[in-house]
Amino acid sequence: MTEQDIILEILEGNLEAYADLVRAHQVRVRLACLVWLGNPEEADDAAQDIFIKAFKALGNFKGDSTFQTWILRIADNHCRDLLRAKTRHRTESLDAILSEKGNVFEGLLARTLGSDDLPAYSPDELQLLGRLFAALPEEDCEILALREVEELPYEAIAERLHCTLDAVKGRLKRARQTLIDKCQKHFPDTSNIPTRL
Amino acid sequence: MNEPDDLVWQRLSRALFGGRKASDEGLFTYRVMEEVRQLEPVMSDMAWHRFLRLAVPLLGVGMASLFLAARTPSSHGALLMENALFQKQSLHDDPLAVVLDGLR
Repeated sequence: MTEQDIILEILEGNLEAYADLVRAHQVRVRLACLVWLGNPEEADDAAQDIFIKAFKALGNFKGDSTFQTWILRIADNHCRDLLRAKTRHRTESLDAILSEKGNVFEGLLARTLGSDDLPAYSPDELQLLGRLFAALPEEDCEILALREVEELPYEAIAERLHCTLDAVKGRLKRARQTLIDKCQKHFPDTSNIPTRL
Repeated sequence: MNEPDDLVWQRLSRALFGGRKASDEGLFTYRVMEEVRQLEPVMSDMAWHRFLRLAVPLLGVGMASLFLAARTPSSHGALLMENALFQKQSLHDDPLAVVLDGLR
């Protein structure tokens, strides 16, 4: 059954079919909120609101894009609205977090690299990821959310951010480099993460 | 980024952003679905609007067809008209007037 079939079934009155869409897309939506908001509890509340918003708007889903693209766009707008209403506080440094929770992070890396399966996040790991994202500058989070979570092409990001393609690439490179530098600094015996893990 | 960094990033991003599952996804789904169930009246409304969106144009087309069908001149009328126009007329009767009266 395709997602379009599931959506039709929901629109015909089978509410329970929505659980399939929630199960399939919740991690991406929760992750997007986590990158934007940096706090796992707030991110999960936001993700829940986003799924409800999407449910109410399901009749407007035209199928021009995938359901994931559509709901991640809703997540983007929702999180921007939340951030407009409050200031995002950077309370910790990346260094402090990696010193304290380096083992959890290392475990996640090892598990990810040790198999072909994509990771299934534990609540502890989501907590850690939230803290890591919260320690990044807001503009890094924005570009990472658009590229790494929404998986938008550079052109679409440039359009959304009203900037040039070069600016997008530059911002993305800086954000990635920050994370790479910090991770390599905290695992000095593994200056080369790939070979060790 | 140079090539080694690219490789590091690929692996790092897989851990940071690559997840497609979470160990507590059942709980999350449960929370969302609890709220969805409370929206059942909204949903019925949505279904009703969806029905209307399809039904109203179809009803319109149906009504229009019915109206046009009722207005289409019958072949009987056309025959009468033909007779009136082309048959020989006597001095005393005017078959065209009879047909036009019938159409009024």
